[in-house]
Amino acid sequence: MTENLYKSMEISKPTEAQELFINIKKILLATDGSKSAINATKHAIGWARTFKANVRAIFVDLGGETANQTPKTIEQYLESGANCKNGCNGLLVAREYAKENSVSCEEVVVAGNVARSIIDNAEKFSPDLIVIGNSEKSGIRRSLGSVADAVMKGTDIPVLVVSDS
Amino acid sequence: MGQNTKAIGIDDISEVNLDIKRILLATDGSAPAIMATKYAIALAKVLGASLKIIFVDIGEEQISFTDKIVIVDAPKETRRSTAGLTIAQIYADKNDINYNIEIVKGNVAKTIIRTAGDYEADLIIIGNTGRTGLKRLTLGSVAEAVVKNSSIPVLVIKGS
Repeated sequence: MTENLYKSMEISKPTEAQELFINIKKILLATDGSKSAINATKHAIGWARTFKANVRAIFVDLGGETANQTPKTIEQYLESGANCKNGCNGLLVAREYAKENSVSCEEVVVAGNVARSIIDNAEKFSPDLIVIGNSEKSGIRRSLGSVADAVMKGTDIPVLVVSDS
Repeated sequence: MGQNTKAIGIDDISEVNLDIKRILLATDGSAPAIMATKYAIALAKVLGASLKIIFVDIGEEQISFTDKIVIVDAPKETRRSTAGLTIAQIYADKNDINYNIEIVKGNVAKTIIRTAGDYEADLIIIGNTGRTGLKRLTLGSVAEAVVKNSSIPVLVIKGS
């Protein structure tokens, strides 16, 4: 869908309007375990269920050791002695929702700048949709906006932003 | 691990359904908005959802959308906006979805959120025009404002 979407930029000949299709095979869910992220998780799993898509749930540990961009599983991350209460919890919530809804989901932890890591991961995973809560704050010192804003700016992939209410 | 699993502490993990009955699409006729339009129509078709398509008129132009309207002597911005609605109409007809079109006046982000609330939309879809011009540099984009303030999920489609 994304590919077709960006290929078909022709707007001067609307008479050539064709039938439209949507195909979502991979969804990237960013979670920090916050309320809006939990809501985002439910939406991501709902979309995945409807479209039979695979989900990758990612938590970016801002406080993690510098620039180790190799994604780890929750278990590997905890074994390394890291402390990731809310984020790892968020990933476990994603895991449980996925299980309950028969959705295929892998959970990964990455250490680094939040928005940057999400964008980098999206480039590698090339999802058809990114789902994120709107409350996650960017770790960028000068940043005025949220992680969602930064992700929206940094990728051409459709982004679904979910609030905490 | 056991400890972490316990710490989930939210309401029961349950089945979740993508319950999207009504979608609000905001278009200004820009390239990202056209892509958002196609996405919204494709999604409405797949989900059997209804679509409300709006253009938010911030100016004083007295424009209205009746049927395949093209105002040739209108300012460029207005022409583009009504063209956006016409394109949406043609795609919506072609794809046989249930929709309605409206021009709403007011501040763009606030009007999108208010209209979506009135419509009881389950999802808002907008194109992200990015930042161009001084106003957007200081105020941020419409998409940012909608995302920040909407309690309804917002799907942002970006143009390249």
